[in-house]
Amino acid sequence: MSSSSHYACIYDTRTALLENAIPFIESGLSAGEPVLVVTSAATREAIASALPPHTSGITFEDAPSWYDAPGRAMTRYVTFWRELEAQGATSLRIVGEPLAAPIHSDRLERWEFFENAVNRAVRDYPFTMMCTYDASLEHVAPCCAQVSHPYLAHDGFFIENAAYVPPSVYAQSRIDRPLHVPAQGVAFMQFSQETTGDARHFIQLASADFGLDAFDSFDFVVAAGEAIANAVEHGGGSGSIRLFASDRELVCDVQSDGNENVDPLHGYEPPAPTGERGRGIWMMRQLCDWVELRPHADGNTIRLHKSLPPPAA
Amino acid sequence: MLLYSSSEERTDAVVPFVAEGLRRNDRVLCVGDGIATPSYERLGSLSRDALRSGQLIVENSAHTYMRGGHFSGSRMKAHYRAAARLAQAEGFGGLRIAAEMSWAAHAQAQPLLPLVEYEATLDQALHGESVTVLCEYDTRLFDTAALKALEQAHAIGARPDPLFASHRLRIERAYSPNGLALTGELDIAARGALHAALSNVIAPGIDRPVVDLRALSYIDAGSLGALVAASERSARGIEVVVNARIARLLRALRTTLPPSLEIREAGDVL
Repeated sequence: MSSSSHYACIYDTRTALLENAIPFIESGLSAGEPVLVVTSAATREAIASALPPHTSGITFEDAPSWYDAPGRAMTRYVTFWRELEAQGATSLRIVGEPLAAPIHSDRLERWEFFENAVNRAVRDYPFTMMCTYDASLEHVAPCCAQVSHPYLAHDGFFIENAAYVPPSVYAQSRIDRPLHVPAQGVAFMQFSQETTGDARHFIQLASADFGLDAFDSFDFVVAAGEAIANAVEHGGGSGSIRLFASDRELVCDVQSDGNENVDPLHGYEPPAPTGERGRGIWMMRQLCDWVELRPHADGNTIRLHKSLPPPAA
Repeated sequence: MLLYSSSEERTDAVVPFVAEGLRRNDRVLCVGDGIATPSYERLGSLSRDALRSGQLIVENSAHTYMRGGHFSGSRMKAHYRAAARLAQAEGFGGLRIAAEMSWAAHAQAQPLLPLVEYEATLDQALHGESVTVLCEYDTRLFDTAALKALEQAHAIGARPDPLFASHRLRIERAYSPNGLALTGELDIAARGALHAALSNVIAPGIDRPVVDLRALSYIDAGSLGALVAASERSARGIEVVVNARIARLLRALRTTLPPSLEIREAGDVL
């Protein structure tokens, strides 16, 4: 049994939100447990006005900037916790609203993956998490909430969620879906141990061509460099790169020709600050907006997504 | 010309210069204020044998540059010309001179103007002879204007050999402050070299090494891990100096970086 627990609160009215969220928050505060609330401005307003004035021990954060990318959102939870832990805290209660920002339907899938991966990534942390979902948002109930939360909050009670799919099973179902590659506009390069530097230069030049600025291009090359190094070190020693633009993002596939198996759930939890190894995949998740790890029969593909700047008006 | 700011930096530059001369069968002449030969220890048996055989000669600046209590450029040029011819006559391939110039800062009457003129015309005076001269100036003893004038009088600047050099990466020892300076792309191909270079500066006598990453155009996770591990080994941590791109990168990764790794953003040198 994990020490963290993860509840979903799917609400259709403000009253339904508050009758679940407020007792959840108050039971934490009364036990002296720090509470982190990461929501939209509207949800924050509703929660704050339902609590006694000057309630202490609660930290409000803005959901759209907190949940800007799945990998970074997870890191923010852990970073927040590490600071509290250093001050002597023994547990943390979180109210989160990952879909608070307007999210395009083609980005929902990654947040569903994130919400599911949370169950694995925070299993060793003393977190009690409640994710609130506005039922009026399209796709919310079937997607993020139902498959990703072991428990549902309803009428002020917690009930076990029969639709919950554990991360290992969920991830397997997701990696079996094929990766879409456009028929045209794909830059391609093969690399080996001797040409990893050339492969990075290729990505750097191409990412500038696709419109990334010097900083974003640098971050993207560093992320891709880890995927390339992975292919050379742990894979068969060679691989290939595909680069293309898709849905307002630059996408880079790094395929390794080897039988290494990547874990699709790897790299969400930040490694300890004192270790020498183990930063690679976590780093990709910090520097990119979405990272997919796809093991397959003859190697694996790491797909990196980086938002492109909006086209000039 | 070598501009150095610590005896360690001088040793790192002069020892290879002397050793190379001895290997090439040159006569090597070391001139200075009693600190003429950089380090018998580092040259080892090479210098002992060479001193015995007369291949390596040590001269004091009081008997050369400041002979009779004053500096004379024309006398020194004649001295080196004669030494070059003697070396040739004795069957050496050429003459290599390592001249430590602190005497000029210590001299009662500052011989700066005649010295600059001498330095500027030395190449011409030794033209046709097989001579290589390394003039060593301690930057702590001369003022900026003097160093600039002296620098202009030399065609070639000397630096200690890099700790590592490949077509993608260069790792150099830095002395002021003590640490490393890296140029190029830092990836797994240089991991061993990075570990070795870091071990080199995590040493007694170096309080808190400064690792200059401003001229890096790429850094990977494993190298970052090596810097983290080094900072944990160093009693007072290490400081890394970074360009704007690496500064932003490290901010994004800061939750996995320990306090022992201090990050300072400075101007871009690319």
